[in-house]
Amino acid sequence: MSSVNISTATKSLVKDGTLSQTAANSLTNQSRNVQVADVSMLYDDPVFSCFLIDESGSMHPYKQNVIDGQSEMIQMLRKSHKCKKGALFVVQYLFADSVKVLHPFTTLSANGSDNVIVMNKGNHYNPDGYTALYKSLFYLLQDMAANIANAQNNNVKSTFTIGVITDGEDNQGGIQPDEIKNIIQELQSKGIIRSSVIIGLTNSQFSSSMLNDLKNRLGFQEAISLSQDAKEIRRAFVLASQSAVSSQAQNS
Amino acid sequence: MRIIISGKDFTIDVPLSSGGEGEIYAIDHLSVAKIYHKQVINRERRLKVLALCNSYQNSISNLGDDSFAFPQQPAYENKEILDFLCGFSMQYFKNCPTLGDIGFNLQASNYKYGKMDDNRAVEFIYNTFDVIDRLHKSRIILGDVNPSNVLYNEKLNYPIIIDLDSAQIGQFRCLSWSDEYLDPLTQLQGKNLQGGYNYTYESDIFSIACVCFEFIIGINPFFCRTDPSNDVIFNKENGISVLRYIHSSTNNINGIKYLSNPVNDNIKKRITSIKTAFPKLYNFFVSIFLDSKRTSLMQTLSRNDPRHPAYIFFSQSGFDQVLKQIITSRKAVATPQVTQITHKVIGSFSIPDSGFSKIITSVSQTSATYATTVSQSAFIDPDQLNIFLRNYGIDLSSIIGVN
Repeated sequence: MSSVNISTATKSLVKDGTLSQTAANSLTNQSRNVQVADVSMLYDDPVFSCFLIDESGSMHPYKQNVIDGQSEMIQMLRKSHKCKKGALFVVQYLFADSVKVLHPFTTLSANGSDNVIVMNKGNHYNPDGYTALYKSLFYLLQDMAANIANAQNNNVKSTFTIGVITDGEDNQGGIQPDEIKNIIQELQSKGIIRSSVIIGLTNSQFSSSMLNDLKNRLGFQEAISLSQDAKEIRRAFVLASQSAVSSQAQNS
Repeated sequence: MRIIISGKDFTIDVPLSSGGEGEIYAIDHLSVAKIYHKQVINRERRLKVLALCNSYQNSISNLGDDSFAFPQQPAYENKEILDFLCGFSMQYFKNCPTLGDIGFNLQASNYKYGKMDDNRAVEFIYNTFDVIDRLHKSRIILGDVNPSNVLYNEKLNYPIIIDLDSAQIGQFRCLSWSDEYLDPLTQLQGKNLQGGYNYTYESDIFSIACVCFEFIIGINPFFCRTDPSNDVIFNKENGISVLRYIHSSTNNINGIKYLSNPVNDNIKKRITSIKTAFPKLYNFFVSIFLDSKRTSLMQTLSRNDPRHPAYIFFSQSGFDQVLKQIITSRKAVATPQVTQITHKVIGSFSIPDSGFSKIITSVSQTSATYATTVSQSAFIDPDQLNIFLRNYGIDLSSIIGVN
């Protein structure tokens, strides 16, 4: 797997008009090298599905539900047409005190022969600590920038979907939500982010209106409020998978 | 989740598959239930499901049940009243893969399904258009077409059309679309007041052509690696198909350059191979993706082919006999005159002054043009025939090959 430096990637994206200089400056604040997906032999436009899953201490009672839901989500993604065409890439992050990358952007294979982590195999999910949501989203945006630039170098147009599952607000800081919002909205206006959804497991400390505020603060397109029970947590992952691969739109 | 179908209780848990509109659950060996996502179910959709279920018997008696998954019985959550309608049951086509599971894989240079080959694939494509024509004759427009709502029936080498609940039927609109397969001409008209598209028979032809192209070639017809790079949706909206580059032997369309790289070279090789082996199918794709035509593949067949939509009409109505007589009459009037004139020119220098001299001059210039002129002027179709042809929308010249 090759890697791309954030500074190099953002320079190239500014040059071709994909990113504004302001957004590029934000992203290069903490430059690093990012492992990028191999898109050199794709026969379809790649879709990068990004999932951020809350691993803070408050999720502990629902540990098994999250593990089951995530596994089901990956199975559903494997049945999607994009996956069958070999053009669906998945990246998964767990966030608590800091961000934990479950695996970098990896092609999801319809028959399961890939390096995508399914949490019901192995000990991957251990909720503990705080909720570093902003830092995690910023980390994801840097990864995205590197992959957008890499895809353009390979003469393909990439699009991204973001699904966040959380039961609370950020309580770690470190990154201003405005910075995230500006970048997300810029990428949405250019059609690079095709969907962004926060699925909130609401509770007494995290109401539906707080979820909606969070959505607006981060510039996301959609917020879905679910309750914090087993069935609803599984549903959260189903919805996350739908937002990732649904090329068809519905008018309800 | 507990649902009620035809008064019976069913508990559903893990879906067989999930799509943009809902999830599919196995009910028994013969039936599955489609349960809509809560955010897409509304009164209009509920009424549509009821109407489709009511016309189920009629639909299968008209179209059969081999190739269509029509909604059969409404499914309710908790109570059997309209506001609790959450989906419907339909026939279970077990072990029938989607087109995405079996189509050509360019990377591996073979079909994903071992028993598929090019000949079978081409036959399948004709069968698919046959099925779509049958739906259209029943005034059903699919609307949202994509490779995931067409299944493969291996035994018959025919498609199975699922998601018929979302089709545009009568007053009921199709509420969904698939960006990568949506006809750009439909897209150009914009969305209607309800936020959806007004589909037509022609838009179905385009979308099915896209799906079939992808099935046999291995890529969406609007995917190619160019500089600058564009996605399928942009290319489709701007008429930049991979066929345009290959068929027109150009590397530059509106400043967008077709690159020479292993991916594009492989695509070109595949398209060229299909062009050589199946020129009629290739020409059909060219007509759709380059010439913006929207004629069904079945109409491109010879009229003597039993699969041609007008075959039965022509063969059983006696109209074929009428056409044969017309052709014979035209030949009888046109051909002997030309022969006779030629004979006279060769055999005798003494020509009566009855207009022949002018005709002979014209023959000496271009005999082919002359033959056509004589044939057109010598035989006039009866008015009744012309009225009949006009009423039935029949273009006689395309049928008998004479202008």
